[in-house]
Amino acid sequence: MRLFRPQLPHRSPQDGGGGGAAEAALGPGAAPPASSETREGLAQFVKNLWAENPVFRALLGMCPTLAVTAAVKPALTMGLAATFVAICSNVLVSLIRKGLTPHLRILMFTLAISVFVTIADLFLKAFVPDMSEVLGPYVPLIIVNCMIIARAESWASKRPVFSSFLDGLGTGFGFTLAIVMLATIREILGAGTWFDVRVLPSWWVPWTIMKLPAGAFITLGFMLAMIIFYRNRAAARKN
Amino acid sequence: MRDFLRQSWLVLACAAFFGLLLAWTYASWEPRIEQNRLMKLRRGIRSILVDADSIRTDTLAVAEAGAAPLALYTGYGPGGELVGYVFRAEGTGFQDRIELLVGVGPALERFRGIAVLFAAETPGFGDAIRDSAIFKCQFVGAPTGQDLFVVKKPDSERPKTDDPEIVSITGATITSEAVTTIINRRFDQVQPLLERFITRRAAPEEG
Repeated sequence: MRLFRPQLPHRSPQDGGGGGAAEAALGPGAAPPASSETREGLAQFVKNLWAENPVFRALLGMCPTLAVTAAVKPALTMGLAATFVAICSNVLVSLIRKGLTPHLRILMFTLAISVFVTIADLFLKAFVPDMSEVLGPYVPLIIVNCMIIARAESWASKRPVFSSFLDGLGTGFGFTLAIVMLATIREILGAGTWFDVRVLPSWWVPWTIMKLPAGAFITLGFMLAMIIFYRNRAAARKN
Repeated sequence: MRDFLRQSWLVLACAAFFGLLLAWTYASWEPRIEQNRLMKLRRGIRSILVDADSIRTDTLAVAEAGAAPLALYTGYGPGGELVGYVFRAEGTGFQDRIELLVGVGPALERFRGIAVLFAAETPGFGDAIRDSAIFKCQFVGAPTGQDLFVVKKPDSERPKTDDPEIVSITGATITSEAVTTIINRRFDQVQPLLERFITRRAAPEEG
């Protein structure tokens, strides 16, 4: 049996993530041309969706992943809120990156993230109050979501605005995709519905455990196992 | 001073900008958030006092020092007759606080029902206090003279609506008990105030 080895590109504070090769090719200190930055951002956007998915590959953002995936609607709302925060914080961090000093870095990231989380929370309370109530404290908790702070640190603080925007968009969409997949399984098995629409016959006995925290852990465990299994099999075939 | 400003200008500038941004956002959306809150309260009152044509709000002073005044919603029928009272009740549930609206009849002898304003109980279990008609209808007509209490019965046995027995939601006994405790405790606090309010209101009519 093959053991799982994360195949994420090496990320150090120096190379800032998946764009290390581009920087190396240009030489240290050289600013990459705009088109190459956009290409790099687009490549990272695509990677964040699946190959470097924050939930399935980096195992970040586990708190909302486990807590709000009992049904698809709250999961989608949480995913979109996190996407908004990831995009805005990435763009803002990228804008101020030249003024960032090492000892103020984390403070500035947290400050930026908390502002956009507060805006997202107020938006939900004003325009989607029922969903805001269902999500409860998990929207404010985006402030401490490692996924967002990690992208600000490893990507946005070293990249121009458009590239950081694409990275934030990819991270948010990747996160949304993962939690909606998880919520789909849990809602269908746990209630026989998807988006509150009945999809399983009336004789289906709902698996109540799927609505409980235990159901979240079990589903996530099975999904991770499946993803690793297929990834390893694909790698073995390639070899 | 110069060194301080050199090191912290970005934090100060960003903090000022973020503060303004949040103040503007809050000022823009707060009326809507407040409106949502009021609509939810109104819907809750209407779901209890279904036969009320108009609702009057009174604020009753509470004797205890530091206690918030009691907001009392009184429902009147089409002919101006009194149909019942609704007040808020709050307490701890299984996971978080539970905020309820509790309705009582005009003579304070029977409950008129409950509505949930806030609950964050376990989805699929305790969360059913919001929508389960079977659970909520048990409070309609339940006597106020004795404490409500929770019992466990099979789902096949339909709960009665005119006794203090509240059949718990399957898998959510703690939430069911929390709801009945909140109602019992709050009614004990509110009853003397309500009686005083009714007496005071009836006095000028008699005189």
